[in-house]
Amino acid sequence: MESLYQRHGCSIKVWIKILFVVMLLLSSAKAHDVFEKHCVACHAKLPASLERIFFNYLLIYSSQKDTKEAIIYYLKSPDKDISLMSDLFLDTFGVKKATKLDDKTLKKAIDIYWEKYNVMDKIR
Amino acid sequence: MSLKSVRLILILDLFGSDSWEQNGLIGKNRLTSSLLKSETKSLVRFLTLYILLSSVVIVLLSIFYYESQNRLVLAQQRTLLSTYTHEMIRKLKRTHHFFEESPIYPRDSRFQSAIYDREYYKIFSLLEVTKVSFNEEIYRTKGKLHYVTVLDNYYLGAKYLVIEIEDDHQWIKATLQDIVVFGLVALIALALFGLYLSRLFLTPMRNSILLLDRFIKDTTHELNTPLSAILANIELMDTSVMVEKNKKKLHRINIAAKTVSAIYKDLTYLILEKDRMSNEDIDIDMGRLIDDRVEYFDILAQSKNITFKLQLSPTLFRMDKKKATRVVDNLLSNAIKYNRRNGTITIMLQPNRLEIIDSGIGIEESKIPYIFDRYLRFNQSEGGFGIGLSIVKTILDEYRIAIEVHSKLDWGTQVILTW
Repeated sequence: MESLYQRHGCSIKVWIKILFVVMLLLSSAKAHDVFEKHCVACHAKLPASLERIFFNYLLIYSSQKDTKEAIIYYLKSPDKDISLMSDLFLDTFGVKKATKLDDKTLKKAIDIYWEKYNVMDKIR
Repeated sequence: MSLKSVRLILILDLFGSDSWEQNGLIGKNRLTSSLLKSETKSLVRFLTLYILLSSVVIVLLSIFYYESQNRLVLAQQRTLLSTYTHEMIRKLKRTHHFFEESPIYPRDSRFQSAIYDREYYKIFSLLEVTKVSFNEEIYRTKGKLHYVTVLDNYYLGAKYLVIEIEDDHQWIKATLQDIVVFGLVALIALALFGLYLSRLFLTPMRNSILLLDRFIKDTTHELNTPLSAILANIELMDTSVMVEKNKKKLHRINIAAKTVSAIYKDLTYLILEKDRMSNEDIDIDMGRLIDDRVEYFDILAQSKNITFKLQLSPTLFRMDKKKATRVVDNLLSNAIKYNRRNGTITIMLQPNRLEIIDSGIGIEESKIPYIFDRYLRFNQSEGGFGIGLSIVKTILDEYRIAIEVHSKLDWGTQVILTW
């Protein structure tokens, strides 16, 4: 007599795999949402693209670690003196407010930002 | 003039006193002109040390020269590489600002390049030799030349820009060629200078030997007349009319005279015979010669109550008789001189071998290699100048006769000649 698992074993495995992939995509989408929601949403209204700002950081801080640390520091304690934007930009749009995001979310958003624009994977 | 006086004059003539002047007694002879064994040893040791030290100096100078050439070539290349770097920075700046439109790393057919971030992570590299030393500005690695520049502006996040070009090996060949040629010339010049120096240092030693030679020549010359007189007079004495006491005295005089005569003959050989250019080689019956010489030395042997044991096979050997006599005389004389009382001397002659074994005091094994050195004497209790074995060795070498000496203290000495 065939057991329930033997009869439906194959299809259960497939369903588990599908479920795993869906969860992964959802989690990724959710993470991506963090960046889209908390960064892109506001920057889309500004004339300076996120990519240009990223290259400004790269020009000063060079490595991944230093760049990420500098962005996080600025987002938490924004100041005209340490901003990498031009004076004209700052005079026009002012200095942003300090972020209210928690460290974990902020780190996640910055990681996505680095992955999105970093040079190493794209240059050829 | 009596018959005895005539015989004395004849014997004096046999020693040929005129020949002293003809052979140049005061000037250098061949022996003093050539280097002694000890001199050669000192010379070789000094030269070896001198050349070794000179070589070390030359090697150090060569390394210094190579390094200076290396630095010179690098300095020349630095200018070129600096130009390449400036061009690359300009291109990196452009790529940095227009990365979105064209994310292509700038390339150049004249060189390869790579960029690294502040933490030495590779951003992009076209280098053939990927291992980079960030501590050096310019260096050689695996046939390539690397030039590392720290950028002021981190275009594309790059703090370090590395330019790589082919290393030109022509200068290495030219430098090595210079080192080999000049090194060899310097080494030869230093070796010649060392030779001159060592000869200069050896001069006092040579002078003292020369002085000793001159002294011996003069002494020998003075010995000639009185020795001849003693020997002649002993021969002429009529022992049948002597009382026993006087006979004993005459016997002792005879022994002493023969000892002095042996020394005299060695010295004569050293001064006169050795300089003789040609040998008068004849087939010598070695058995007979040994027999004769044993008989001659018998009176000396009897004084120490030494017994001869002879085993002589008939042997012919082509050689100058005077030289053969000097060899046998010196070996026998030593065997008697350094023997103990009531000892034995065994002489065994075979067609290609002569063995003389004494039961004497022997010599230390460590001193055996030096027994043929001239003026070297290990036992001061016996008379002599230390020239006997030196003469023996010279003659044996001339006739290519090998000599082996085995000796043990208080056991005796065994001398083996093979030809």
